[in-house]
Amino acid sequence: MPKDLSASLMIAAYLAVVVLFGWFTRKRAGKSEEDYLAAGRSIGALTGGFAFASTYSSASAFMGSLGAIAILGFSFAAWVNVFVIGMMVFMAHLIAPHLRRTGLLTIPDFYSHRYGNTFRVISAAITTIIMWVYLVAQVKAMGLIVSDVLGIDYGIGIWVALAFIIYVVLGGMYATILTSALQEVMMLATAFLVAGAIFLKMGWGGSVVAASAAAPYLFSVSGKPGTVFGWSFGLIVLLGSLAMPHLTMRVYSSADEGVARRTVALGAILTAALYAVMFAVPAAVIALGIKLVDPDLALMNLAGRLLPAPLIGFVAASILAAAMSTTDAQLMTAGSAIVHDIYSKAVRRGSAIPLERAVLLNRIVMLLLGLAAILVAMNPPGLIVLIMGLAMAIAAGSLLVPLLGGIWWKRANEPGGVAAALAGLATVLALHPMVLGGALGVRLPSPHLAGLYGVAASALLYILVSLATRPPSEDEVRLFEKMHGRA
Amino acid sequence: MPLGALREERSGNDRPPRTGSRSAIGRDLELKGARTETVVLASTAAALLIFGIPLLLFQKTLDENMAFGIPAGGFFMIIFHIFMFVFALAIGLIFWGR
Repeated sequence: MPKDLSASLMIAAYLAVVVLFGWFTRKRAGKSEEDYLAAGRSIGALTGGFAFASTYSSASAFMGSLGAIAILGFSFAAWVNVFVIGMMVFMAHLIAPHLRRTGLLTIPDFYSHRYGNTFRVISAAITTIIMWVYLVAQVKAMGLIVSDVLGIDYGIGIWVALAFIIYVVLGGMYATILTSALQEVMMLATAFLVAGAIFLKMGWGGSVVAASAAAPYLFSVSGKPGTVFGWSFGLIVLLGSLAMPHLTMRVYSSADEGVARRTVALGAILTAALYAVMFAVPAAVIALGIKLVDPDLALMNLAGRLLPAPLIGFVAASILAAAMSTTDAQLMTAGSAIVHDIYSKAVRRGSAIPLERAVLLNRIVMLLLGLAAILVAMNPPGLIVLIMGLAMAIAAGSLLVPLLGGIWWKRANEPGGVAAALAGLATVLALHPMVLGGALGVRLPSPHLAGLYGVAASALLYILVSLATRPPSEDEVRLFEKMHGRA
Repeated sequence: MPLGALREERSGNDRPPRTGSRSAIGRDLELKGARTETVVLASTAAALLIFGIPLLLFQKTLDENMAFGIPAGGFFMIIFHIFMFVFALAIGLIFWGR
């Protein structure tokens, strides 16, 4: 394991830079809640696109997925990667510009204006749960990387997560977006650096052919877990990502609806570029006969074999960047759901909180949420990619149908939205093997089918309950018209 | 005409109105917007189906036959990764201004 001083310095330099981003944006972020949660709605398409891509590409892109490809085969990741690009195209045209037109601050804000205040509390609670599940997986990734590079205990290495907590607490969405743009640049540089090193060592074709000969499952259509696992995971990532609040919330910081659309479009291009080259990593790991003690560290093990120490440090810093670019957005989303949606809008029923107190409350809650995530991640949960799959399933099952239906179906109403969210959530929790499915004796060909059944249950109840109850109120219709530029 | 005024006028002409009545121009823009979305969504769905259907229907054939030293299915998956990058680039560039 690499424990070189230059690699450690590279990580320290990266951490110092992102904390400085937080420090220098703290005053701008503290001006108002709109500045803190939506970066003053001032972000352009270029910065926003880089930030969106890095927010999507979490530690899973450099750790979870690569490790899973090495042990399960390429097929499941192929489904996911291809469907993710499709997801971003869908988001750019079906969701982003319409949400931006509303001029709201958080995703539960949208749900409450479209479906009423009850749905605000439900969606804020679900949002907090989803972000939590995801956050713990990312913090685990940070601990793994730092303990591997520095050669220290995982329980100590995990405290590196303090860096992103600091810059989020200080700089809010300004720091989150600016660091995310920097993080995407680092991630792309690492992807092409490692791909280049593989090419120089054995040529891409050479590594792929050698890996296929050593591990025949690697490039077979079904891979080890079978075709159902592959397509169901791809589909749940597509559907879940569309409803992931930390991704959709990004569009609120765009300067206008056109910028929001272009932001997601650029995000799709950058993500596709990253995924188009990263498949070479697991193939090279197998072709070189590298033994994986922890599959999540496949990229680090390969970098240790191919690159000099300072560049290993850069790769490690990039993996940290990948994890932090997602966790910062998740922390922002979970914190704003608690402060803005549950406390301010539901508990205080919208009575104004003094400006400074609102920003301070956001900062305190985000600090506590971040610290709690570190403590939970002390006992590492399962494979990162599996935890991510659960979060996607909950998001798709509970929030996707009310989100898409709220934008595109005028007749949808509050009872339909509430029924859809609760039915989808209950279905996922009851069927998923990582929640109640195992205890209830549910056996599915793939755990990700739980999320797809959740979407089906949610859609069915959404339509039936909406049609069976009163039409949407005038306010709800007004928001609908506004989203389509007609009010 | 001062450059600033020209920029402002262009920007005003290029952008569809964000709010307002459903005038003839508004309806026209709305229709164009709808067509854009239809084209984008249909082509994306088609691309996903072109990827998915062969993998699901011809799994055995793709695994049993080799292409460039690896199973044909794996080769197809790698090619499709690169295709999706080109696709995302094309869609992004074509509809960048909208």
